[in-house]
Amino acid sequence: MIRCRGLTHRYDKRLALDGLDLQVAAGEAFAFIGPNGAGKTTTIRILATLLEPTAGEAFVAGFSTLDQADEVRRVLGYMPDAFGVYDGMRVWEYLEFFAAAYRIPRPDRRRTLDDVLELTDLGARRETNIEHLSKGMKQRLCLAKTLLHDPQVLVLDEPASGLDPRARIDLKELLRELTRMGKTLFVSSHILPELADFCSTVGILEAGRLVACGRVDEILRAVDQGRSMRVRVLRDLEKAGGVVEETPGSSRVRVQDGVLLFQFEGPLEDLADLAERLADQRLGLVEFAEARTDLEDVFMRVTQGVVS
Amino acid sequence: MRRVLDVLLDNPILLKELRIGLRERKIFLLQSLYLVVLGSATALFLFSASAPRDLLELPDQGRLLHGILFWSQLAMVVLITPSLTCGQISGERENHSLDLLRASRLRTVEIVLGKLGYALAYVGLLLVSSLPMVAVVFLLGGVAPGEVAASYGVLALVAALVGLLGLFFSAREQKTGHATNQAYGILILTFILSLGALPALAEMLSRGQTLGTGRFAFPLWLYLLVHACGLAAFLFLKIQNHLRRRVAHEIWLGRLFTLVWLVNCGLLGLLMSTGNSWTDPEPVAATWCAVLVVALASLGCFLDPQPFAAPREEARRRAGLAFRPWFWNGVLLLGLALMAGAQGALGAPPVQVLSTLGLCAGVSVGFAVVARSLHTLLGGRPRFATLYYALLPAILVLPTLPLASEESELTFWLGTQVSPLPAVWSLWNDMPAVSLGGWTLDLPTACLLSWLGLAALLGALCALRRSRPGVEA
Repeated sequence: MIRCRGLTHRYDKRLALDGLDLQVAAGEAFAFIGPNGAGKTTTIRILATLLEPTAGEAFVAGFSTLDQADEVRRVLGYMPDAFGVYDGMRVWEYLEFFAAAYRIPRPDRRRTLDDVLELTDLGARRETNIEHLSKGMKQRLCLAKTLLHDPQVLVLDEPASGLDPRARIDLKELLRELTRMGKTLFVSSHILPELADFCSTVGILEAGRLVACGRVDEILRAVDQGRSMRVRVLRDLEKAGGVVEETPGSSRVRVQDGVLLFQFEGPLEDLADLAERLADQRLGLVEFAEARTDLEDVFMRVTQGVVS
Repeated sequence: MRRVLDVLLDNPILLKELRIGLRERKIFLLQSLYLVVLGSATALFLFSASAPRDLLELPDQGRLLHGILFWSQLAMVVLITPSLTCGQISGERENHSLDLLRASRLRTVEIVLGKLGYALAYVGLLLVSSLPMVAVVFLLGGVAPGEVAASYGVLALVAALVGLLGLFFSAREQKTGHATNQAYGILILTFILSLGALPALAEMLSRGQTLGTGRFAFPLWLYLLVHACGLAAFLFLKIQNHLRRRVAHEIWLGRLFTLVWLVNCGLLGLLMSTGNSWTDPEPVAATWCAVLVVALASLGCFLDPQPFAAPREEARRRAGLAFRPWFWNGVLLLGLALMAGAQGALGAPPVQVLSTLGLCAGVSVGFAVVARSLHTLLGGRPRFATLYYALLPAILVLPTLPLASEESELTFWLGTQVSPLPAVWSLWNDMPAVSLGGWTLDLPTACLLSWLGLAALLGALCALRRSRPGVEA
């Protein structure tokens, strides 16, 4: 549904995107993550036909963003990270304006407005002045605007930024509902656990290059050599660390929030031996478990903090 | 036709702007101010006018009141319209909503027409609300309904032009404050510079002045209208360019400009010959000066370093002949040559014609090099192009003021170093050569040398900068 081929973009002398190759299948929820300045917004602006790449090409639903911009706009819903709403307008007026801007026929507009207002749970706010809406509601209003022309692909740039926890959960539910409706989602965000909940595939961008791409578990297998383990003791964490370090097969031993974390490569018997030795040390062992590796771990492991 | 009507009437941007704009308090206050000023002017006139001794004086009073109302309305339209358009596009940019519009299926022409339509609809409301005051003129007589209608037409045309100017700066600049400052700066400067010419122009228009005589008589109002439409089209296309990710319409802009320019120059050459101008050279000199100002301003517009949305587009632009500054310089010179050719064929003194052509050609080439070099030396930032727009009228016209005030030879000579207009003037009016430090130079030679010298100096500095390692051309 989305295909980028050798996408490159340069702002004066700064290279923002460096030959990005990317493919997102129809109906997939794709998490696009990367540190600040990695080129996420540039990619999204190219997909939304707002920017022309210096080299390469991007296709949305088979339409070229270079030569078939109007077709791309017909099938794509774009929600930028910073968006403005017009104070002095009511909710329905704002949506009606964008319905006209997306060429929705006049007789269909009222039904379309009702549908998106219901989907985004803004039906009760139909007559409210936009300036009186909270940040979370404005975010939902922008999403409602994005859904007006029933796009096949939704490109959302940092949709949850600046929202309080409740608004974030609501938005996440809404996005999950959209994936259930069969929409293709292309979401960039800094808040990684949120994406992990509903995104099936992930692309990690650093310094304009895609450093990892695929299903989350596939990437985990690729980057995870062995198991991630966590150990918690009540006394002398340093001594416990020493015991772990002496054990063959263990690596990347570190302490985080009072918990000992390390990687282990080897047979399960060796791991059992290590657990017994730690117990024998009488350090007050209360936890010896395999840590669940999440999107955040993957991100930290594949990126090096380089900004293009 | 239906499509054009849809763009004008079923325009979502126009509806949105009317919805938001007409709910603002500013709009109500502006309208109140407009009516208070016009009402006060009318009341003051009626109460202060002396009682006519006979009924035949009434039409004179009617004409005077019509004049007062027209100029007051013109001043207010010029002041109010930019305030409605200067923030239209930069405001969307500041509000982070411009991208939402650009990513929708709206075409740039719809966005520009919607924004302009809102400003014109409001100005239309102001003009309609002034009708009761203007109706007093009919009580006094002396003014035909056609004249009143024509004055409203002029006001609407001025509103459209000034509105487009405001939109142009709004599209160019990131901040509304910058756009407003520049639009009002240009308007105030133009007003100051044309202060002397405006009443004379109004007088000529009301007299039904023509350019040329006999078969070649061409109404002055039509000539001005054609140029106003050309300027409006130019601004309209430029605004769209600033809203698109690709620079478009440059070819159309070029074609439009080339057509207007060449026809204009040929026409002027022809017209000048029909008014017995060779024995009365002032109109010829004035025409050459006016044409040169238009030529340099147009050349500056084509050299305007507009930032390109995509480097790919810039590469395409650089590759095309029509996008090279030298090409446009050639077109401008062709126009000047056409004018000179028409004059020569109709019996103008060849030496004077060729000297004027040579001077204009030299200045035009020098100007192109100076403008381009300054752009490169100042870092190629669009902000400096705005400086050019702001300073160009001053550079071209202000130094010619000594001509009117007959200052000392030295002041006159210094003025010539900056503006080519006095030098052109001197070619047709036999002004004496100037002695300075033992050197005797005629004004055209001095002017040509100073422009070409400045061009050579800046060109050399540019070449030096480009040749330094690590500096891109």
